[in-house]
Amino acid sequence: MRLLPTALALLVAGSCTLGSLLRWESEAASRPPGLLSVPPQTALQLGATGFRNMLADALYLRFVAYWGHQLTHGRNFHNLYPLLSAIVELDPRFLSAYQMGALALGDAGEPLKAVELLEKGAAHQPENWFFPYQTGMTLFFFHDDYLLAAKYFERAAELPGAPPEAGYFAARMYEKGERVELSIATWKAIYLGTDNPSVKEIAKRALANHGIDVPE
Amino acid sequence: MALFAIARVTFQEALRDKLLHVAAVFGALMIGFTLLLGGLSAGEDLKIIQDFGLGSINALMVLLAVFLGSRLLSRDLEQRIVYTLLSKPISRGQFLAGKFLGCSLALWALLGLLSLLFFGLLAVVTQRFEPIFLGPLALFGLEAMVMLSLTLMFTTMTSPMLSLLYSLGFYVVGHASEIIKQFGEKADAVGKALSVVIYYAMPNLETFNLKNQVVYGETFALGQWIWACSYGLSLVTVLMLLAILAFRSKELQ
Repeated sequence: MRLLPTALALLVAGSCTLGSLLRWESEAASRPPGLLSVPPQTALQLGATGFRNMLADALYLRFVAYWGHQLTHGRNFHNLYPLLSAIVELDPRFLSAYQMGALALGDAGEPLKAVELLEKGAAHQPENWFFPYQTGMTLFFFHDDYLLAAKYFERAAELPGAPPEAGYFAARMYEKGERVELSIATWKAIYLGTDNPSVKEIAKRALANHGIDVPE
Repeated sequence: MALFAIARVTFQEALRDKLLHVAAVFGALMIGFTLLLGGLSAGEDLKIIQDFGLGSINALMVLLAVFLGSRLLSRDLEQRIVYTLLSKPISRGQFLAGKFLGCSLALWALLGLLSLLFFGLLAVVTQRFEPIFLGPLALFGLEAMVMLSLTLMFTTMTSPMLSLLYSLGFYVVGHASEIIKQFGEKADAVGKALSVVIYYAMPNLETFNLKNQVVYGETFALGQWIWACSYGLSLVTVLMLLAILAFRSKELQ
């Protein structure tokens, strides 16, 4: 009586997994040697069966090995984003995969893919300051988009647990993006929004550099 | 009581089974191997040790439950032990329940051993005892019991090889039913209907999967754990009742 649904389910799961694997295999065969091949999402999702974290870890180790190898052997990066995307789809809380992944993608000349990866994390954990902070870093280091970086740092600074640097970086990014008035406004917000004397002191000095004195 | 006598003998037999010995050695090697994997992870060593350690124990428990379960009845039938036993005042239900109980005890014994190794390794790495992992580990034992009862049920209806395949298929679908439903939502009407049938017909084995959340230091509510235990015990009861019903109507030649 239970054989029929089990057999049907097995058939569906098996067909989906097999189909995806065959497609991956045929695509892998047509790729030049040495390129990173990534199993299709369907196969990974179905194949993980309760071992999502473990599979994400295994793919992460594959990513670390591939990235490390490419850093020392010609920096020929391929398929990094699909692999990293697969890792975070399996384990959306894997912060190192986002952090190292964004760094690798930025370094490989794909900063916007890095932002896309971090946005996935932010969608999953909107209250975690890490994602906008890391996005700001990526845009600053690899994309030279200071104003957009400033917006991300500002967003990070508003989230609970964010380090005070998020605010400083936002102000500095506005300054680098030649929006001094926004930089001053950010420093003022930092100065007024904290009770921490050392943070107040840093903001006060930054404002003094802009020729603005704040009351003691 | 006959049931406990059968359970005791089955437990002793299982402890002598080479399959259990291989599983114990393989499990120990896997747990030790996580140290090496952790070292390759660029700063995520503890997560990798915990994920791979728990994952290995979980996978071994399920595989062992299915393999032991698929041979449990067939061996006694082949060696004609079952005829000798059933000629005594022992009901078929008692016989099957005793077999299940003995095999479950052997599985729990293996779980205990592997858990000790896992906790030992964690203690070496973190210098502390992490009791939070006891919850998911206990559910591995319960899930193994579910898989054992399921395999026993299939064994009473079909051949050992087919029951093994059915059980493994059941396990995959039981864990992927949510994903199959999500895929079905993007499919045509037939695919959608099929995915809904699968979703509701299959038990949700993800209920027993707390390992992914405890690795991130998230505690789980006691209610969630009790619910998983109740769900598992209910599944075991239903599956064993079905197995006993099927075994009662089975013609033994």
